[in-house]
Amino acid sequence: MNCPPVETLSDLLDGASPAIARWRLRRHLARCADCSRRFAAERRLRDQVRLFAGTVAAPARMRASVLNALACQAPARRRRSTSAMVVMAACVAALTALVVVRSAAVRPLPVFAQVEQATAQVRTATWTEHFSIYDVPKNTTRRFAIRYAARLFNPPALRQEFGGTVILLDAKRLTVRRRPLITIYAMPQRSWESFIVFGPPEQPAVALRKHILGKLLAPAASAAHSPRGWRVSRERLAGRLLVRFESGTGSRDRAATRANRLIRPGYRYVVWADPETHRAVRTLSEYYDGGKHTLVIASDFRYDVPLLSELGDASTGH
Amino acid sequence: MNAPSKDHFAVLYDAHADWVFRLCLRLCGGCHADAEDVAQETLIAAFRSLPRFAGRAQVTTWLYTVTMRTWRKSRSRYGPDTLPLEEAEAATPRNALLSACLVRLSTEAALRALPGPLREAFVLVKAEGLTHREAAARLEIPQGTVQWRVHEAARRLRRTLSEEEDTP
Repeated sequence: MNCPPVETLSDLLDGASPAIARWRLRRHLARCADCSRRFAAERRLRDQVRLFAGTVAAPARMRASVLNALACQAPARRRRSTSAMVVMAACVAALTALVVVRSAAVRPLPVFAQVEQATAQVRTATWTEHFSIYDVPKNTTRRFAIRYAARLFNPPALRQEFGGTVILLDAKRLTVRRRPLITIYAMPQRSWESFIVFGPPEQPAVALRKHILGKLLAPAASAAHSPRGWRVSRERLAGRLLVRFESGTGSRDRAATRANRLIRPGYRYVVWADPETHRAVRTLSEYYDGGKHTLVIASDFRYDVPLLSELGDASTGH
Repeated sequence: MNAPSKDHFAVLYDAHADWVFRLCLRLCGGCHADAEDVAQETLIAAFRSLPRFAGRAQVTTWLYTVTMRTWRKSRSRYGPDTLPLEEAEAATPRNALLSACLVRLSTEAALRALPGPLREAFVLVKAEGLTHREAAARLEIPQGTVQWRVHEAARRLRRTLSEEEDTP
């Protein structure tokens, strides 16, 4: 028997082969060291995937979240069944109430008032970011990854130095560079406006092209340079009341491959934060996919460290 | 069937929440936040549609289908894939960051780098141990398609992981 393709070995492992083929394959494996090795590798791969998440239990808070979500949506069905008259009456009542309170400012829901108060007290934050570009021309895979761990601190301008560990993986080569690559300046007043300044270019297989978006010294300077801010809203996600921060890049960001082909990220950060813990419960980043190029970014933004306890530490340098 | 009560929920949750979460974790390539969202939405959807569940299939079979549908829906809603997140500390030494990053580019990242259709077929067959026929039924696609997707996913994973082993 000729050596079977690896797909056949995979099917054997999955129990997808017919009985007679199984018997033949087993007999072949007993004799062929090469196939036996390939079969063992297939089994290792399967075991690796099986072990991954193998004993993880659902988070304890999930039960309450699901129950909350179910409870929250139950009244909505009842409302649908109410008559148009009742709805109209409710609308009239609401309008009346609106007229009565029209002079008052729009007040946040109580739960978010608490959040806003707490958020206002938070002056530092940590930001961890995974930034990967998967650049796949033809059959070779080039990957580019940056891992950041940074800290935001100190009004009036929050300055975030990205002490980036830059890891470049180009087929079988690995290059590691460590130098600040990106600096973010963020203004905490009102809008959390922030600005990104890209650092000097590297000379690797995949390089971020130097592209200064702007130097920020005062809020007034920001308008001239592609500012980006955090839009803050309140949202219910899977039954939880969360604060949603959204920010995106301007159109001037550029990353270029060795062949100088342009990748326009145009990415967008979305962070949902828990009002009670002030921690991001999920984050999302959008990427640019331009045919053969795929840019993938994920980030983890946390803002749970009070300024006063950390300021001394932060001001000594990054 | 009467409207399901909290007792029904407790039974459903206790029996199935853990494995649904694990399945979601695999589908989400190790991202706990995403997995938690998808698992929650799955359980909410399942509990709501419980009165319509005819009982012709096993509960697990039905939940597999609900999970897959929820996951697909969440993918279309949230857009592109992102890499799973770690608990990161600003004070972590650079070397640790580097090694963590390299670890990230192993199984989880390789799994996560798979396109959704390949990943779901691969996870169901290889990780969950379903047969091709069972996976085809859960995914509502032909058996041959499942087989091809599993092979293609395995091929890509082998290539990705072997590249990473080769790096110094």
